[in-house]
Amino acid sequence: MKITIKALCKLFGKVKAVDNLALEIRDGEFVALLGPSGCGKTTTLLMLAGIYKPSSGSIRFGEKVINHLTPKERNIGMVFQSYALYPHMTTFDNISYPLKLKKVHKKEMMKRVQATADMMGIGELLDRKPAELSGGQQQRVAVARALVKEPAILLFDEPLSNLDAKLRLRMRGEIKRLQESLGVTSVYVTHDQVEAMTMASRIAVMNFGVLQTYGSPNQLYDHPDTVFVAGFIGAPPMNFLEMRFEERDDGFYLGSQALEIRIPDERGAQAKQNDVPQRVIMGSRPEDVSVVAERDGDFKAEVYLIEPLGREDLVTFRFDSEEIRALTPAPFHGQIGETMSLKLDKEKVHLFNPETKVSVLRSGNGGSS
Amino acid sequence: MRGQLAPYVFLSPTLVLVTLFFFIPLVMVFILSFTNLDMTNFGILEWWSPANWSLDNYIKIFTNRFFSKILGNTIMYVVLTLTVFNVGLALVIALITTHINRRAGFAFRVLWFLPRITPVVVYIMMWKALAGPAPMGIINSILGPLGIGSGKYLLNTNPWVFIILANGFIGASFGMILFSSAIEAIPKDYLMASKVDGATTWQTIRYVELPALKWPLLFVTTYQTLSLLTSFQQIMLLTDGGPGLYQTEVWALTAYHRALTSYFGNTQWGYGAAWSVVLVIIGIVMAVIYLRVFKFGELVEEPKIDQL
Ligand SMILES: Nc1ncnc2c1ncn2[C@@H]1O[C@H](COP(=O)(O)OP(=O)(O)OP(=O)(O)O)[C@@H](O)[C@H]1O
Ligand SMILES: [Mg+2]
Repeated sequence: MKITIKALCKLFGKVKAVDNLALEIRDGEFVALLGPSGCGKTTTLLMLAGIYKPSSGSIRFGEKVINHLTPKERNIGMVFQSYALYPHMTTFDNISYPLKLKKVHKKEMMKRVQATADMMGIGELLDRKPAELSGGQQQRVAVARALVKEPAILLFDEPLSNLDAKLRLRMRGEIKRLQESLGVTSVYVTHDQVEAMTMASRIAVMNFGVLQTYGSPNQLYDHPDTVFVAGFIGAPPMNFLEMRFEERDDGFYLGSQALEIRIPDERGAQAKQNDVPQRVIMGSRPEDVSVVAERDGDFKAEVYLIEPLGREDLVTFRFDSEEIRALTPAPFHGQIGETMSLKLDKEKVHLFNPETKVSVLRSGNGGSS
Repeated sequence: MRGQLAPYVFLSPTLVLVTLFFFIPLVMVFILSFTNLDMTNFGILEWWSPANWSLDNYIKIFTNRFFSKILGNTIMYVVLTLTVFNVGLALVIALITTHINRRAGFAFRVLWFLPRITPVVVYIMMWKALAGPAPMGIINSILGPLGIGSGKYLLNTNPWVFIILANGFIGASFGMILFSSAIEAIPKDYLMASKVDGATTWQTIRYVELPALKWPLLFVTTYQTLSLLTSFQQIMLLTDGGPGLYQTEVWALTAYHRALTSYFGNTQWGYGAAWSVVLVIIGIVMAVIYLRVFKFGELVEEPKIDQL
């Protein structure tokens, strides 16, 4: 089922939990709503579910506006962060609850509950109460309950955040596979950018109730629209440095007290076309910063902190009063306090307007969204 | 040594009070129930001596001409007040006030608390005024023009209705507070999940909220049964067991009448104590039955968690 959200707002008193949200979700698509705590993800989801009435704007399922429909009339399945399994009911009763409310015939109900439970690998646990299940098992029951009525839309509200790291990884894969095989349009809320990147075909990033950007994981990673998105997507987060933008006869340059780099002509031209101001925010991901021999370096900096991550080491350097972090192949050959030469990958340099915090490298008419 | 003594020092005021005003009277009532101590032999009868103990009082109770009338009255009074008001109406008010605007719900519950905090004598006076004969009584003034009722003093024509109403209006607020706080303590996720699963408000109440009220229901039912069994002040003030002979006399009121008034004969402390002791036993039996019916054991069963 296609979902079209237009100019959607939700106010709680004076708090604007969701502000003028526009989003289109294709039939069968898996979309992640990503953003920090309190940015309005759950509120958006609950409006899709029909629990909250929008303050203004419209939500369409298919071509039909469903603003006024009750949850019952929307045919959705939802998985809650807390699982929300009814504590007095057995697994069977929990999963069969949506069918019971639909007055599905007893025999049919037994069959569908068993089939769904088997698919989720909890067929043996049907007579247990939620308190007698582990977190992972409860999670599966919650998914089974959402799936059993064969909903047109699946909503997930941070379903994995209560699981341990290993189980989270496994459930992540299982939910993704399940969604792909069933082809149900799904909206998945998370504040974990890795979860969003790995699971979703498109990610909607929100902040303070406002949609920041909407695009595929690669798009958001390679061409972030705003400083917020650039900093939010990717771990460890992107480095930001304030710099001067200069056009000279032989090309485009970024400069500050400590360093000066030349950026590729097409990047510079694009920035110029987007009315780049004199001062810009330059963004460079830690994996695009490398330690090099002195003659190849763009600038020098002092090792401040070394954080081994196993495959790589995350090294924080200091120069002037700035900090920059680099992902270097482990083991890192250097000591704290040592001065080393660093080089930035100029092909992957991001530029943002410090006033609007919007990227000046966007192609086209420059409008975000 | 001092460290070991400290807890007892702190406990002692309460211990003394509880012993003095609860345990000793309890034992005394129990002993008294086997004697025929009354106003006439007070100071003469050695009630503490086993030689003066007998089961006569108990035989007297069970062979009393009005025994079945009193028992019947008590059962009717407790069952009707409990089911209709103390649990039934309490649950209805709790459900309604938790499903409307929060502030309105709260205000409504505060209103329902008024009967409980009004001094009982004032409260009963109000009922008596309400039940007054035409044209003074408000109820009669309303019923009259509708052509219902005779305009007589309603406490004489329908005493039970007023006894149950007067007690129920007080009793309902207890359950109401417990039920509504239990309802508000239900995690919102359950209610949302139920709605998303396709339930109407009524179905959510029926399948999700009511089961979560099992504990408060058990508690309110048990507690209110016991307090209704032993309560008599309202009845005493309203009808004092009348207006007909033993028409509204309940067990606790009988115990009071026998022991502390000379309603019939002398103040028979021993005999009255026996009525009380039987009432206590009935109360204990009822409490045990409730725990069984509500499957208390199941609520504290050990979980069977294992790893995925
Ligand atoms: N029922 C409510 N009444 C009043 N304010 C609310 C209500 N629900 C949410 N809010 C406010 O709206 C904003 C968005 O809340 P929301 O729950 O949608 O955030 P979220 O993105 O889901 O955050 P989290 O990641 O912590 O779950 C917050 O400022 C929150 O305080
Ligand atoms: Mg949330």
